[in-house]
Amino acid sequence: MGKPRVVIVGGGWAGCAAAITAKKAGADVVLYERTDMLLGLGNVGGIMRNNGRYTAAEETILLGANELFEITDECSRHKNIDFPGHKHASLYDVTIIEPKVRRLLELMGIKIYFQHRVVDVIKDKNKIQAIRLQDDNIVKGDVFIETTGSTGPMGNCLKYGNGCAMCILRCPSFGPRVSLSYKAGVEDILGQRANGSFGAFSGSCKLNKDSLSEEIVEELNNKGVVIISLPKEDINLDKLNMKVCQQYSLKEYAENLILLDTGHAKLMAPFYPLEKLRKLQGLENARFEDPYAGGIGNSIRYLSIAPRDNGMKVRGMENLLCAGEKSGLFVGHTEAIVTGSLAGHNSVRVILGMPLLELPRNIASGDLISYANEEILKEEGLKNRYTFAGASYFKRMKELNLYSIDGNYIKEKLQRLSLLDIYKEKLI
Amino acid sequence: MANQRWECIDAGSDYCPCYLAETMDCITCSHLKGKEFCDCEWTGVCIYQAYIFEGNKKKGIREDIRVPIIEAKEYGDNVIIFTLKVPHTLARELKQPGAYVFIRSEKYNNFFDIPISIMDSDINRDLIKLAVEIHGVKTKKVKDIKDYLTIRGPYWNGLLGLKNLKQMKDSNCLFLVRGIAQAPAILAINHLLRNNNTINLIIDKGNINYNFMKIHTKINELKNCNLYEKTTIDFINKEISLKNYDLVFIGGSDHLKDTLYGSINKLNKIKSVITNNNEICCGEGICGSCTIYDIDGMPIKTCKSQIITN
Repeated sequence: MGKPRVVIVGGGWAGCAAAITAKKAGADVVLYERTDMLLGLGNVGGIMRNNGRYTAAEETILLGANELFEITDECSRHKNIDFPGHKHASLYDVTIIEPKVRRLLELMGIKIYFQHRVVDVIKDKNKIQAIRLQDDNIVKGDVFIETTGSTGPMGNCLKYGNGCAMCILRCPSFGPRVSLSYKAGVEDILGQRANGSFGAFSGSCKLNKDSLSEEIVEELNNKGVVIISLPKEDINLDKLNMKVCQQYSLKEYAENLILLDTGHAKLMAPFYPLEKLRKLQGLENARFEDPYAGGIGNSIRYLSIAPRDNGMKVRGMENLLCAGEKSGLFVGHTEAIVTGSLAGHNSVRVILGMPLLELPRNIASGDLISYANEEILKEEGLKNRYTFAGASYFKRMKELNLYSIDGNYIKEKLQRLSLLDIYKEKLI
Repeated sequence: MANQRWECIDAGSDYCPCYLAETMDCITCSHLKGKEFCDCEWTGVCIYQAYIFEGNKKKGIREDIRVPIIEAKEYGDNVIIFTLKVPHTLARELKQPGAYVFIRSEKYNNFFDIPISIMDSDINRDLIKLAVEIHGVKTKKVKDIKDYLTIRGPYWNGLLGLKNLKQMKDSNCLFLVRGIAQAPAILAINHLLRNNNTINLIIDKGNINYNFMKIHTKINELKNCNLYEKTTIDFINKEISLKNYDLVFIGGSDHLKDTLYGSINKLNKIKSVITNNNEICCGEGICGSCTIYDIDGMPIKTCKSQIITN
């Protein structure tokens, strides 16, 4: 008999993190990705280690899932920079990171199937036997982890947004995301905006750096951040309510154009009419890199969250786990890696019938996972986003003394909790 | 959890979105059947987006056109093969396995529309060939027409299992064809030959008592017989046991199909293409005459829907 098989659906940060910890715990791991690249929205993101994310990254490294943070650190164009509301951020270069993650997973023996879209599940009562691919092939497994995110597809981006803006997810080319938990009979949870409408816009778009003035490019390359104040008539505070990233929903972000250097020039607004953008000094020739139609809209997220327990197992299903945005109103790569690492490790515990690991609430990672799960049950909670990087959760981190950038302090804490390197334990 | 699903043959075409989107009865898009969120398996440009872009309207519909008859050749008492001159684009669009058009006499209204499979389409000369078996109210009214016909098209759902057919390459295919179903078989055979498939044909001339496969395809039949006879069934059984077939095409009535599947168990294991024998009346999913019910009891408009099973 071969090793038990963990099947991961979705190759974003959460799926990659889950693949790594499941592999480390001893399973045979296969990963199915709809597009031709890993990392999903991680190919256009890049912000790490800002505010409480620093603590969470250190915690996950100490728990034994160090690999992905090593890559994001190694690929950082800028380290320890500050921008409005955010301290000690790192910005990884989105143009170089994907192949590095791909090679890492391949070296670890994780089999990745690109352009394999999963469209359905085959189950027996509450147990998933297999998944069905678009080409009707069937993939069997012992346990499944859904990390399909919650963004798109096009019809949703239209009904709840401004239409398909042609983002990195490339639904017209690779086909729509399918909510597998829903296909398994578990109803999705939907995030809301302040006005109660469903979903939220992705919070930033990227400008092609070569289309910006030499002065801006130089400042971006040197400092990592450029702040351009907007003319009064262009200030639109309403935009702050639409976006996913409440940690960037600050007045400064409405009154200024904030650009971060992630390889592209990351523009901290969900979208920005091109005509208006080009009126600003240095941006006369600006063009969007992602989404291609960033002048009109952006992708819509949080339309497909699975109810789960704090071990990341989907409620009502015996052998389905979830992570990343699929598992809550989370924002960010760090959050995806934190939840993905736990889901991957626990997938092996599910196979073995062991109790699932729940991260304790006296570390930030454990508290975020549990807190988001409590809040999602409340009507107001569906309108909040949960990130170590800001908004209400970072405030909570500071109040509960969960925030620290002192590596030794975090290490001592995890040692006390007997959690050091727990993800490195080979369980099979 | 379904192990079968239905795809609309028109999805993503020049005729999508259609009337069904306007009435929230779209076969493919969950939004356009009244649901709140995306739940489709369509991988082309989003139908909902196309619909909103059209200003919440369908795209242009297929219109009747008047086309000259280049030739109307009778075969025996009850078969006519029409050669029609059509616009170039239409000829191209009809060079697809499963393609059909509606035809009728200019003198009558669309009660008299007859769905007729395309037998051949010559895109160099913009000619299409149709074989019509004269046997009912509508076909009797085109029997003696020699000058012009009113046609409407293109339609594409004349065969079920098109995905199997289109995926087939370098494979062995068995064709079991009876009577007028020779016509759609010809387009299918010519498509398969282009993809380097090998075709073995067992033909039953049926009521039309004529074999026009010889003229319109480059293949010779394995056997010319009566498909309902036991000796033929035994022959097919043996044929399937001896050779590895990747695809079977059954052209004939549902009765023939049921008889063959009922007596040849091995057929179930081979991918299939069958002629769509449902009563097609409008071709647009509106009139309901072609409706069948799937295993869950859901009504399926077979003039537009392809079943995808696993």
